Amino acid sequence: MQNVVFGIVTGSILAVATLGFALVRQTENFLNIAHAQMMALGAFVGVVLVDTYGMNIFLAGAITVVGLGALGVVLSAIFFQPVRHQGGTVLLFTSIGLALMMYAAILALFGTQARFYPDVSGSLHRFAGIGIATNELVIIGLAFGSIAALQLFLNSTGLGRAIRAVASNDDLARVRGVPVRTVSNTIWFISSAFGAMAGVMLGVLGAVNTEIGWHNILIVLAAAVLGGLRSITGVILAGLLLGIMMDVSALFIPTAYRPVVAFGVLVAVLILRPEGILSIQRRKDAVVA
Amino acid sequence: MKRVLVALLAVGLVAAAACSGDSGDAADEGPVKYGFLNGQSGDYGPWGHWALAAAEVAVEELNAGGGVLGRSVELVVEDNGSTPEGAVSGFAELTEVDGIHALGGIESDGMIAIFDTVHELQIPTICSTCGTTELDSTGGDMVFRIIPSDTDNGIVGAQVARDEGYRNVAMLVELSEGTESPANVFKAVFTEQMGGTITEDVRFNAGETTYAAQVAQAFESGPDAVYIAAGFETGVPILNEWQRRGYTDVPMIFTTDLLSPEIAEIVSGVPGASAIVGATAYDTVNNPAWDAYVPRFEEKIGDPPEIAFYDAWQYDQYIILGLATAKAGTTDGAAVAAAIPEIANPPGVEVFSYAQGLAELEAGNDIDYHGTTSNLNLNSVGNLLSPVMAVIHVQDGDWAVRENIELDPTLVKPS
Amino acid sequence: MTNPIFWVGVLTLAAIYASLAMALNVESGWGGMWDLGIAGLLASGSYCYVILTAGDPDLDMRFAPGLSMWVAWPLSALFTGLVAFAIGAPALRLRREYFLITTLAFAEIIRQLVIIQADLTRGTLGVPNINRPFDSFVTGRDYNYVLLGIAVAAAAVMYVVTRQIGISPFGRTLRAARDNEAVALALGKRVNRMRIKTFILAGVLIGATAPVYLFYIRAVSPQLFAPGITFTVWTALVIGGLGSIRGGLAGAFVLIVFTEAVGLIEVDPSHINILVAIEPFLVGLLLVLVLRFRPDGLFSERSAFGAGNRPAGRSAGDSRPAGAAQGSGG
Repeated sequence: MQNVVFGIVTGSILAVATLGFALVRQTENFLNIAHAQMMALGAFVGVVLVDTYGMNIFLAGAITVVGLGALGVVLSAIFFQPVRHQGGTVLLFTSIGLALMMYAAILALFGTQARFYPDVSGSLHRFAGIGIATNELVIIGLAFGSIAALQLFLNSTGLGRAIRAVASNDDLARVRGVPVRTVSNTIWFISSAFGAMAGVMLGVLGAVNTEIGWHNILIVLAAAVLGGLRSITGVILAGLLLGIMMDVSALFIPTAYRPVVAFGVLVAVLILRPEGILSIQRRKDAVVA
Repeated sequence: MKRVLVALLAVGLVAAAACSGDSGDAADEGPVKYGFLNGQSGDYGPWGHWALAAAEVAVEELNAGGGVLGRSVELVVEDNGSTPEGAVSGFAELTEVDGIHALGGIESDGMIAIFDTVHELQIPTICSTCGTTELDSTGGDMVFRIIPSDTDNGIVGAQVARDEGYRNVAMLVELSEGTESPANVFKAVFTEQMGGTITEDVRFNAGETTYAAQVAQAFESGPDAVYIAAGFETGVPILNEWQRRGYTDVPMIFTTDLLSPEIAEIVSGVPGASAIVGATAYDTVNNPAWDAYVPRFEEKIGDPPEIAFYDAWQYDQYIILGLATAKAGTTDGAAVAAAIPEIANPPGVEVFSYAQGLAELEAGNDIDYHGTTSNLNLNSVGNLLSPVMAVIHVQDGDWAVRENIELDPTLVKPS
Repeated sequence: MTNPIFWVGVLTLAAIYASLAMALNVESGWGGMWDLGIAGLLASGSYCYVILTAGDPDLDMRFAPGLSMWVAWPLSALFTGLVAFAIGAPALRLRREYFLITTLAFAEIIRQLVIIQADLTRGTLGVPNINRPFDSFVTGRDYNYVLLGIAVAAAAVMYVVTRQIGISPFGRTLRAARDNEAVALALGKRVNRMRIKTFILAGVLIGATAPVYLFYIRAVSPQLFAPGITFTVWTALVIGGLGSIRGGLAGAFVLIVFTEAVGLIEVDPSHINILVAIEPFLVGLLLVLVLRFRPDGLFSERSAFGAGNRPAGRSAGDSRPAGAAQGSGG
């Protein structure tokens, strides 16, 4: 059971990280590789605010999330807007170019030394023999809180509904007069903010180093695809599932195989249920035979 | 299609025709150039800052001592991105474009990739961070290693475990060459030569989101102690877990990489901290070279030297290269390489700095240079002959030497 | 003027990446299969070559038959083809991002297996002293020219082979099936068979290039096959022009020469942060700018095959990643 708790923590972070990535994929129709560098940037900005300026972790986290959300909007306007009409291929590789440039910026601004969030782990709580630390509880709480808030926003505000309209059919939304530009900016803000939040969470639990983005892009890609590219709930479940699976598998399989397990399950799920775990668009979207 | 083929051919021909000048051998005037090829970005990036600062301290000392062969010394820095491919192309740039006379700074995987080329081009190379067991039986002509082999580090770990009376040990090992090598030696020596039991051998990858499950697996297996071989970046989350989950009554044995200030900080306040030890070749007590190095490094970077960042070894290598070049009286690669064991090994006047060594050389005396970390005596394959191993523990919030021990000669490298 | 040997090395590396990019172009440019598993195929070919040629008992490898490199080389290509088949058979049922992530996952699985199966591969320790052709005749610096010759010859062969595929009826059908689902449907099951053939072929070509890469590096270790190399090959192909015959060739030379030339920029060591940031920044910028102003790359597919070749012009929809388009039911 303890490992399930570990998995939920891993999975919550993964869900937050993947959600921003999946949102862009659903609305802008491309895989944004630069998303993982936004996570890295979030981890660094957060650690600088907390460690160097002695800021409270929650305040630092909030500033990081809002600030990088805004940065995401600016970057999308500079890099993605001009090539938007070129389609997914060009956008995908533009995002790789942007990822390299953001990585370079991180190296130049923050240097290559590893950084650590000062003691933010908090004490350990025990419930029925299962231990969980304060910061893990906070991470799980924040992850689910922000995901719920996003769902609420998407379902009950005009702008949220507009985003969903764009996600389901871009052209139709355009015809119907949805404010495409506002929608796009909102999406980039949310996506980048979620990426930054995941970065801060990763940093709090582990170490902050310049490679953190490259290390996490594969697993984010995996969770996004596993979740099905059309479903937000699917993405959340996929993140949790991958997290729990990796940690629970430690009980049965040598931990060295952990990444193999993650990717092995991914491949198996895709081949057995190619549409992802929740999607209904089975044959239409994903598979040939 | 023909045009492309012709273009391809032309590329080859032009390159071949351009081969008139025979090499990048630097001229006999101008500065003496020492290359520093190192992972300043990528996975070794976190070490890069410390490594470079130490190398610069050494080169400043060479220049303050009047330079080498009366010429100034230039440190030519090249980032290999922590990849073997980066090491190969970086080494080509240093030798062919910059015309370096000798090389330092490189890590194990890069060293293995450029090993043959180093010999062909006759570039004396000192490896200050390669623990790889691959160098246990090769080297000594052109490649020298001034850090203990992972074999030594593994054996000393097992020796410490034995001396502390541990019978059942769990292992937590990061999957990388530098961490697995000592861990595998440790495991073999501890089980085969000491009859110890490994209760659990947990291997994990760097860059995981969390390490909680792996930590639990090792510590829940009922060990007397846990042997941890990991980089300090993964060490921090692991030890946060260790502290938080209440495993602090289980003693631990660390590999060198974990002896970093962040980790000292985590473990120092904890009741079980006194039972945490690391061991490596680190002969700094009553060592004039070390005492002179520490304040200069601290002035350079604002922090004291740290074992886990290997900075002192980075410093030693350039003092060796400076003295060896001075001894050889030329920058010729073969002559400098031949001089390296001569200035590092007895017989000779014991010296602890470049200026001291240079003065003795100019007086016509043999020298035996002692570095910051060891007496630097080298065997026939260019490895440390019999390093003094220090058992290191936490004291006043940082790592400190508890005692010096000798490697038990009855413990041998497992086949 | 710097020593030519340096540029010989740069051109060697460029020729190797050119070979890989041209092989990738067959499956991804023309076949429309977005393969992010280049690193895995390259690892398969490399380790097959290393294990088959290993004979030194000091290496302590469980299986070290010590075959001649001339036997091991083609066997490595074939073995990589087999690996490609094993990956392609399940993966080709998927399309678009699903195919992409599956190949990426397989590549990571292969790399992890190489690390874990240490008694066969020497794991993270790696294998040094790669056997190189003709190294008993030419030694030292001069060998760099031999190596350039080998790499350029390999790239030339790759160009001829991929060009033949590109202009053959097979290549035309491949592109037609990629662009037009109606054509694909009409061709039915043949398209599926054609795609797996193409995927295996790309595997063989990448496996044949793997030993050349090892000749350059001179040692093998699992780190060589991190996903980074896949992205470099893709970047080269996209810069050169996805789908064009000489795109991979041109893109690899531009990218590698550019990267190495950037590395020559001198920066004072006190600004080491800037030094390490310059290269990724400029490579990223190059990619962004090429895509902004020449979205089809330096050479477009249209210029390679004539304007009439693609039924409809490029539209947003049709340039999306596609694993396998709708084929027959089955």
